[in-house]
Order: sequence, then structure tokens, then C-alpha cells
Amino acid sequence: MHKRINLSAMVAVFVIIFLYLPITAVVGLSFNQSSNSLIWKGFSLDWYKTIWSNEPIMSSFQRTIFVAVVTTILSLVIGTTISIGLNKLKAGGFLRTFSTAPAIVPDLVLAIGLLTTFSVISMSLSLTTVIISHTVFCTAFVVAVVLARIGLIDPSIEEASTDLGASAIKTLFKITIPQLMPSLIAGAVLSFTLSMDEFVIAFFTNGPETPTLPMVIYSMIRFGVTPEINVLGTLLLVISFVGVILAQRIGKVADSI
Amino acid sequence: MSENLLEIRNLTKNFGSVTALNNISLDIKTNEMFALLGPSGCGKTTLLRIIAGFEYPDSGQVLMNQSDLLAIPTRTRPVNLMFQSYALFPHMDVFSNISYGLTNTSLSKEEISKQTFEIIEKIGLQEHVKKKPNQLSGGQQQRVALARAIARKPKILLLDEPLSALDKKIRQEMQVELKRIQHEFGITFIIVTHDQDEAISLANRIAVFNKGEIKQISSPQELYENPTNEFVANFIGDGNLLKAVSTGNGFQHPSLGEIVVSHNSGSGKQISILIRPENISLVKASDGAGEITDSVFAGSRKNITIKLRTNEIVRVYADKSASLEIGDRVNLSFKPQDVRVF
Repeated sequence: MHKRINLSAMVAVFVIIFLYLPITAVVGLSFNQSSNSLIWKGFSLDWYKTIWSNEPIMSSFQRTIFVAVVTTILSLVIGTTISIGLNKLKAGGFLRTFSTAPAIVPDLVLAIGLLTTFSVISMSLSLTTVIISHTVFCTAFVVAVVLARIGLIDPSIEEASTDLGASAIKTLFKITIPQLMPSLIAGAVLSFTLSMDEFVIAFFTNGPETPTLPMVIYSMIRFGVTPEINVLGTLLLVISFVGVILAQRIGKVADSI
Repeated sequence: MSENLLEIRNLTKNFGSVTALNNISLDIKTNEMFALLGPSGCGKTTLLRIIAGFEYPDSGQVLMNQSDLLAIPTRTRPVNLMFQSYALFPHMDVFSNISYGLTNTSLSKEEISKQTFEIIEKIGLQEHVKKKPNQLSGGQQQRVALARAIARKPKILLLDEPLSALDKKIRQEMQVELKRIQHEFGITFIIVTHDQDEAISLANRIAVFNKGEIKQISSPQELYENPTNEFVANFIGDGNLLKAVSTGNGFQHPSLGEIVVSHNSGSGKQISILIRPENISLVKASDGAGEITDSVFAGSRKNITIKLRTNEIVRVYADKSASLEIGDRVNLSFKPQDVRVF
């Protein structure tokens, strides 16, 4: 019996290999004993050990996580507020598009615009300016995700809460936000992962003393790809995956309630 | 009868160029089951939302026990609303849904729990206390919505299309249940509906709305038997509205001839006459005024459709054993006192 070769399955397999080969290379080479990451010398966890004592990498890693966490919190608060406002105003397509535009504006344009703004208001570049900049585009993503969900909520649920004597604040925290939870989780994961590996905007708006991880990797890579970079790449990958999986889990739970 | 609980005085509300309520006045008595009935867009829901506190009128007054209801914020009005969509909180279980209104009072936790369980018992939801709304049937969801809305012991319960989402069997069950609960809790019910059957079966009194105006307020029987205008005649029950010309002591209809009926329309005017299908009897006659075009067996009776020479359609409920066939020519007979003239 001849097995029939399914063309579309072949294309799919090819595409998957094409997509995952680079990722596999990063993860695989992070375990390379050789200090030249292109020559395989044997399996080793050495680079995972030495990276903890690499001060520039570790401090930039901490900075990156700090920026991502603060950005996520700010984007969630601002983005949710904007979404609730737009929904209450029954705002039309223009305002909606307007509030989500920073998500699709090219990073480079946004970066130049932000840098110009900071210099006009003479704000010196630091992690604060990075956080502000990241919040600008992450907020747009949060608005996009939360707006999609908020439109599906029966407006009479909030009216029922008021009718039953709840204050506006209680209605917001006990009724509206629990209803939005799946989209808030999605928005948080998006903001965190987008901020964590963002390079162009951080490169433009950061001060010289406080490089974030992508900037440190960029400066290291000019001297060739070291195994340490592969280790960092692998760690970032793990953080992103864990974030996405956690979000899906929590999202499922939140959706079922 | 008892005094007025709610007095609505000259209420007007416009949305842009659309007049939702046009100078409405209306009294609702304590412990009444009052229905606001009308086609969609007639203003009845706007009135409901004004009483609940979700809309504010352009002019006019709403008084509860002689004091201004509109001055009381939505949150603290002694009025609760059972939403058409039920609007249950999907992330809370049945207990939390029902007790929600009580948690916004100064009652202690023990007292809230005690009162909630009392209501759960009275409405028969004991088995569902821990369930989420999406685990309940439509009828059960409605019971939760009802329990939640009466938990704060409002003076008035507003019900927005309370039976529209239920299937026929549960509708009948809920009709009985709503009346029982109204009686047991002593709350005045105001029901908004577009469904005349729902209004007639539930309410003591009905206000028929059309285009932001009240066309008639009376008991269901009075609305059916003595509609005061053509809209009500047409909207309530099955009826035959025919065009005729008034004469001094009755009217002249091209197919039915001259009929003597007392009316006060004056002579020679275009008028409408209403005759209910059950008030007409048919007599076969080769030169009859109309021809039977349809005959449908409906259990206890036959629903017969007749086309008059004027091309007007008349519906008649005939005895199920009547030997009337499609194509037969018939004469129509009815008592003058069963005719209403507009």
C-alpha cells in the first residue's frame, strides 16, 4: 500500500520547522560548553551558573522585570478606565480606533515621538521615561482587549447593582471588574511580555546608566553571540511561556465563573 | 379601595426629537398588580425606567405617598426592578445574587443570611443556593431575579416583560407564582409588557400605551368589553373593525346594511365599528353578505374567516359542530349592544 502524501500537511510541517528552528537553536546552544556558541563542544549547565554572577546582565534583568511590572499595572489601570469610559459614552469607531492606535503605530515613530516629547518638557531620560513610553503602547493593547469584552456585558447587570443599592465604586469592583477578569488577565500578559522584550522604544527613551536587558543583549551581540545570550534568550522564553500558560489557566477559571 | 401609592403627574420625556412620554398622568394604588401595555416603542419602558431611577423626565412629577420620588437617588428608592434579561450577576451564586441588595444595607451578616434564606424558601430555590446562574433553567433564573428584586422589600416591584422569555408551560406556572408572591409579600407590582395575554392574565388594571400616550386605563374586562377608542379595540383581544357611515340612530355599512345602535357620533360621519368574533352568529344564505374563505378547527370551536362584499375580513368563532364550509355564503347577525362605535 502506498501512503498518500498530503501536501498541505507537508507544508505545515515545513512551516513549523521554519518557525521553531531558531528557537530550538537558542535553547540548544544555551547548553553548549564552548564559549563560541557556534561550535558544539558538549552539554553543560555552566553558563546558567555563571550568568547569576554577571552583574551587568543581572541588574539589567531586574530593571527589565521592574519596568514590565510597573508598565503592566499602569496599563491595566489606565486601559480599563479608558475602556469603561468609551463603553459608557457609547463612543463610536473613531474614538475606539484612536485609543488603540498606539498599538499599531510603528515602534520607531512612537519612539521618536516620545523622545521629542520628553526633550520638549525637559524630562531627563531614565527608567521612568521607559515606563511612561511602554505604558503608552501597552495601554493601547489593554484597551483593545478589554473593549472587546466590555461590549459583551449586559448593561443591565450594572443597572441591577445600582437598583439594589450598591454605590458606583462597589458596582465597579464587585460587578464590572469580575466580569472583565478574563480580558484583564489577557491584557496583563500582553503588557508584561511586550514590555519585557521591547527594544526600539527603550533604546530611544532610556538613560545611559540604566540599560534594560534587550539593550544589554544588543551591546553584547556586537562581539558575537555568546552562550550567555542564548541562556538569557531561553530564560525570557520560559518567562513568556509560563505567563501565557498561567493566563490561559486563570482565564479559563475566570471565564467559567 | 385603598389610597394611591404612586401618582404620576404630567410626565413628559423626549429623546432628541422622539417623544417617549407625552404628558402622562396615572395613579397606582397600594397592592395593585398594574400593567403598562403597549407595542414596542410606545413609552412604557421609559416610564418604568423613570420610576426605577435610570431616566429622568423632562417635566412632570412622580409622587410616592405624596412625596417626590424623583428626588430620591436610584440606589435608595423603595423601588426595585426585575429586568427582562434578569441581569443576574454571572460570577455570583444564587445566595450571593439574592443577598446582594441586603449587603448594601446596614443589616448584620447574620440578619442578611437569615432574611435571604427566608426568601429562598418562599420562592422555592433551596436546592439551588450554591449554583451559578448559568447552571439554572430559564424558569429558575427568573425566580432568582424575582427573589433578588424583592429581597430589599421594596414598596413597588417593577417587572419588565416578566414572562416573555419563558416557554408556555413555565409561563402559566410563573403567572400563578407571581400572583402568590405579590399577595404574600404585599408589594405593589407594575408590569411592563407588549403581550396583552400577559397583561390580562396578571393585572388588576391596565394602562394601554401608544406613541407616548395613555389610550385607556381600566380593568382587563372593561378594556375588552368597552374599549374607548379604536387603538384599544384593535390592540386588546381579537376584534373586527369595520368602516361604516353613521346615521341618526345607528350606522350604515355597505355589506351589513343599516344597524340601529345608540352612539353620539352625529349623522353622516365615517366611523369604525367593533364586533368581537364570539358575538357574531352565522346563517347560511345564497345571497349572504359574505363568503367563508377559511375555516380552522381550534379545539372547542371553529375559527371562521369571512370576506364581505366590501372586501373587509371578518373573523367569527363558530360552534365546532356548525356545518359551515369554505365557499358558503352567509349572513352575519349580532346584537346591537355588542357593537362598539368609534
